[in-house]
Amino acid sequence: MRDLHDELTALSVEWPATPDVAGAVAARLAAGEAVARPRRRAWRPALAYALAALAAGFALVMAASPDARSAVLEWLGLKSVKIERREPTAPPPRPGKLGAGLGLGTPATVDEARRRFPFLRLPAADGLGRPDAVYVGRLGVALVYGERPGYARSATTGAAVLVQELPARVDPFIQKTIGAASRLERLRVDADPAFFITGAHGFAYEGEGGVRFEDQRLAGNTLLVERADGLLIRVEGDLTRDRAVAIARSIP
Amino acid sequence: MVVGRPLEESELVERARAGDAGAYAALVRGHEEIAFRTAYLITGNAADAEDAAQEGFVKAHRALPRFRAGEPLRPWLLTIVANEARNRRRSAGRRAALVLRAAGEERPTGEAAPSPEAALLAGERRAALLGAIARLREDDRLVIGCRYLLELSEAETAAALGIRPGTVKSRLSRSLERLRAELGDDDA
Repeated sequence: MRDLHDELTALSVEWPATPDVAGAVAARLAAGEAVARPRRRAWRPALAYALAALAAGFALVMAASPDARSAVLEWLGLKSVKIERREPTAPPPRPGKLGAGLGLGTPATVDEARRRFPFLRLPAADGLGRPDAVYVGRLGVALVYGERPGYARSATTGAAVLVQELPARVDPFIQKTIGAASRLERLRVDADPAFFITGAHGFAYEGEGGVRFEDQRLAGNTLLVERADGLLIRVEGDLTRDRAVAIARSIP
Repeated sequence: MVVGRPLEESELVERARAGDAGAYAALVRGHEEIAFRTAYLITGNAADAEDAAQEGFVKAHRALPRFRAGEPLRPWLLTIVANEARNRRRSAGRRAALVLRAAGEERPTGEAAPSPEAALLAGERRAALLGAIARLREDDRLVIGCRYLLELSEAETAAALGIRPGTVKSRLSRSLERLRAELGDDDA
């Protein structure tokens, strides 16, 4: 028989769904307490985002230095609550290339990206077609798809689907540390271990009155697939699990 | 590797103390799950746990000026929420039976995937384990629940249970002995 400690460590419990405590608390505080109004800032909102909970816990196992790991997390958008101030004003329909401003790297053509990262493979899921923009980061490639039939664009990013490919592993302890407010589902895509993350990742931004927080998601749902060939595929967007899985599977 | 969040969290705390409601909402969002589950472990009832978590975070907001900057926030919040949960449990009078089900799969251990038969046996064993935990007396159940099911640190467990950090380890080892005995009875 296994050691009791090991058994308990491996034991995973189905907890009741976590209710929206933050919403209820915010409503109570707003109703019952005159909260000191923060002073107005000279500069206007800046987009900033928080993949709060999610981020806190992602562990990527790479044969690489802590710096490289940290860079991977950053590139994946998995850093902890990060408040990023951008210069001024105005709601952000972004100028320029789709996905610009998401910190994905340098714009490139598919061929250029493949020269840099020969592992690059394009998904062939129905209706997805060619990516509208390709970015080369330090560690991998990002493919950005705009709105198209069956794929709605995200109000926050303007993109419908983001596919990232990089050589990395997600540590099995992902589940231990994923943290609050998001749901993690383990699954297999073909034989490869995968994780589907839904729920409020959170979306914090620096607004007029200070940091604001909304349940709106920058990332939508996220599917991570650890492929046997060493590639980590990340599919993100306002996608159902099946849709995300179909995209990941269509990557040869 | 766990990516640190202390810096960002401390910034949110600072803003929340200055009256920024959004910053406080972000903090609550970040801790509501562990708070709710801790409260559930104590009350054994989802509605009471929700109340306790909500009330706890409202009280914590009021108490923010007393929070010592630079200290970890989570144990501090857990202390407050767990207190609320204990109050509810006491006023509920009867002993609520804690219902916990094992999730379909174990946490990954890096071992090869088990055969279907082995998986079935393992599933029964997990159910027996949770059943035995639920039958333990409250003190035992809570310390095992905090450390293994909620995966709280010793310091966080001490905060949630309102006991000295130094006693967590010894209490846990005694509780595990009783769990072993409880499981042994099952096998007989």
